[in-house]
Amino acid sequence: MSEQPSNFIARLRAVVGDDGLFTEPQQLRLYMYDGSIDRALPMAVALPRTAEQVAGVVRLCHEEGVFLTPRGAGTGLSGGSIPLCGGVVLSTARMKAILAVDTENQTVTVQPGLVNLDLTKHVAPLGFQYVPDPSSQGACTIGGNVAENSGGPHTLTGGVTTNHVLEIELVMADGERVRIGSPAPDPPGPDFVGVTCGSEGTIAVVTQILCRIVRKTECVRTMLAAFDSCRAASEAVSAVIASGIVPTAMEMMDHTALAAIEAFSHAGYPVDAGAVLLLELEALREEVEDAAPRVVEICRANGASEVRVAQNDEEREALWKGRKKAFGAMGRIGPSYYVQDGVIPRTRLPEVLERVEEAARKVGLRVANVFHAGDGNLHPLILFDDRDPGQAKRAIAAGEEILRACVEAGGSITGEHGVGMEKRDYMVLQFPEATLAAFTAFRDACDPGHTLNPYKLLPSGLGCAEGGKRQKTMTQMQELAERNAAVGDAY
Amino acid sequence: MSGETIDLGNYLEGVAAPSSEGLNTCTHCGLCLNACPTYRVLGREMDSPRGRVFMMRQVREEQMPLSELIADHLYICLDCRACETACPSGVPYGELVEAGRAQVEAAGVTPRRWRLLRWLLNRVILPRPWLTRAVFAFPRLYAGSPLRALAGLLPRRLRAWEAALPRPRAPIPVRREPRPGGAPESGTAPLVMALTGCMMEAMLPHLNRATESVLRKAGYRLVPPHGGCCGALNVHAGERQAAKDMARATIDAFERSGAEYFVSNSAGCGAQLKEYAHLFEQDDPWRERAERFASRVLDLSQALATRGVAATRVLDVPVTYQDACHLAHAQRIRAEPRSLLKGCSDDFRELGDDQCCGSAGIYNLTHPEIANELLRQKLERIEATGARLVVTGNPGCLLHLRRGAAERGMNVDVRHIAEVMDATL
Repeated sequence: MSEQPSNFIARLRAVVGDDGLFTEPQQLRLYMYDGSIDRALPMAVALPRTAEQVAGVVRLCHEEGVFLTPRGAGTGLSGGSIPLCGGVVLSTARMKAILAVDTENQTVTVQPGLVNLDLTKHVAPLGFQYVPDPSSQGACTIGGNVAENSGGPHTLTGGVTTNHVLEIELVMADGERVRIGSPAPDPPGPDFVGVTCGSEGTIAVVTQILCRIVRKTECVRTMLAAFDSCRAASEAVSAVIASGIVPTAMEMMDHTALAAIEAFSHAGYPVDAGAVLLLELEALREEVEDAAPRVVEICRANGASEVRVAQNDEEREALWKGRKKAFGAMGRIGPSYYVQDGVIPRTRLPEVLERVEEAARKVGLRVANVFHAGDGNLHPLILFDDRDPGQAKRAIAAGEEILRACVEAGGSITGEHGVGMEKRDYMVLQFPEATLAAFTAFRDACDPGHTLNPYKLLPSGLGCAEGGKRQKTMTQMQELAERNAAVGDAY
Repeated sequence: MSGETIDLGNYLEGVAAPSSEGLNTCTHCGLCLNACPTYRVLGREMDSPRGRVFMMRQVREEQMPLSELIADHLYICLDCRACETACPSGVPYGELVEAGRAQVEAAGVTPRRWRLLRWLLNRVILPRPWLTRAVFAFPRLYAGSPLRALAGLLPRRLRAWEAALPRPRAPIPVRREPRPGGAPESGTAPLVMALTGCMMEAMLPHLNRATESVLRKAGYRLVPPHGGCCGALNVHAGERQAAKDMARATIDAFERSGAEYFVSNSAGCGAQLKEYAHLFEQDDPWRERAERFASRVLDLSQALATRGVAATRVLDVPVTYQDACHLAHAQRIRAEPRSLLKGCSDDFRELGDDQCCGSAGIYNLTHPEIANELLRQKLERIEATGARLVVTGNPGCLLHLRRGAAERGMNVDVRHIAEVMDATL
């Protein structure tokens, strides 16, 4: 090593200040997890407050060949913010300001650490909303949403994060600050904003985002339909869409999930139903009033035993609270869960759901389903006890089986949770080698030193201990890898 | 809670420890993060509920020692319990953090600078009503004296503290014209015992009198009140033995009184009274008594709302309600105080924010920087509503908000719900 790690730390400290850097091993342990099941220990955690500080941290890591993993709130479900190869975690938790609100042009300028729901809360009194609403919106950050190109229940008509971001300020891998996109829609040239959304922190670090906001719709109606089985509910989903009505959200919850959801939300979910659909219509009042009875009728025709329309905002909020916090509520029925995120054509829902059930049964675990049925985005939650390493392995095996089923049904391995580290090796299931090579070439062009969020997203990325420049931090990396392994053993 | 003799990991034996069951309920989804005031201010995972649960779990799994660092982060927690409202899994956070504190306290790794203050307050002064009254006699006597006219001569910071002191005779602004209403007509008059508490009786005795008066107006009959500390501050600080003694004394007094309900006018005390059972082991006969007692405890707002009282006077200024954490989060009481206030106001304005104001027992003394930042945020919200009267159900919030409002030069009065209801019923 040309430089002692202590010296590197000292320089890092000079960038973010004493208060913005953690290096105590015990504190570092709190940055080794996210909302999913992976674990890895960083060697330092930096909490910058400004874009200049972010650029300083990124540049320093670039110069020293130290890995850097950006982190928002750590609610991710694919290991995107896990510092897999050690190195520095850059947390945006202290960059959460709303810098400007422009209602005339319907935009808001925010820092990346701003919590998704705080953005909507801020513009709601002005009659606006920010559309992408991941289920973790009460905690997840806009920066994290950009990295994962997050969706949510309203993706069906509202689109995902990339459809609601106009301009992004970035720090490139070498510390250079650039601005991509434009406040005016559809700028000429390649869609760099589109590429950045979903790049999972592998090509740059986001420091500022110009988000699009839209007027709140005039009328919202939320209804709940109970079915005997997931099959019947799936058929109702297809029938509603075939009728020409496109609800803004169509969410399915199966029998196993319902118990936990109701225990938490007390929203009156029918816990004995085989499956429940949560449907939301959003439009002008006349349109909603016209469509709602037709949706009820279609559900009944497809075997719904009960259809209930939320009578007021409280009832509506209670239903959504149950759905949005469904994953967390699984703690009530199993110590841990492993969630998959495959997407399939919605007409194939019944058969794929059966394969999901079978995959879990094969490894002797239970599975609960809570997902975006309207766009065929599955979220099977495989329940297991994370203190038993055998069970964790079996959960992962079942997950892989499920993804295989999704791809075979003509779908994709991820809808909105990102590839991260957990689905990195499954990318080959979905993309031909040439396409993956093109992805890699683009990443290499952006981050030739491979310091940004290493070994995520792309299977062809270099492993933690490979590459030229980072040789000088090899010893350090090896130590970390050993420490990581020791930590991993505990799980 | 405890009772486990194996698998304590790095926890000490013979002291309540965070239960594996409770810790494992956390799925580390992170939905609690933005609900946590200290995470919002500090931005550190260590100061989030998920982080604290993770640390407590690591100690149990022998991955972390019971260290000063853990103690530090456990005490940075306000104990506001907002995370419990946010948590979909039902993690018993309050119970876990209190046991965690009992452990760091027993291990002797608690930050030294707070030990003296806490020892004096929690162990020496508050358990002794006579001493509590004596210690707080000065501010109380001063508050009602003509000396206050000279307060303008004090330096600015002290002036704000001075302004926080209660003005017992300051009237609640109500309209002149009465409107029909009053006590419920029901024939039964349940017998209740009110808690006058420690600090409350020493510093804010007029609130206890208002509580007794309004309970009578609502048609309750009162047995002599229970004076003395409920032990909440001890539990929050991890001093479980002292808390147990106080719990036994309170339960015993209630049982012997023959009263049907036990009414608290302090959110923090009420939450503690309802959770006394956490203090006793499964096989301890006191546990069952504590559970039975808890089912009889009512917050003042519950006691009034269930009687269906109707105001005879209407407030003359825009009013807002500040959710005390131990009402909104720990006791899940949100609707009752609002319905009472809407009953006596034509201009009730929602604060739209239930984040802790930063008072949190003695937290504002041990962690003034965080407490003041939270206070600033709360006062900004209050300003935005345009309310001239802020009502709350906890003495800690009351004094903290009063000081903050005075320091900021706000034209707003902060009052306890007992006073407001007493003036309008």
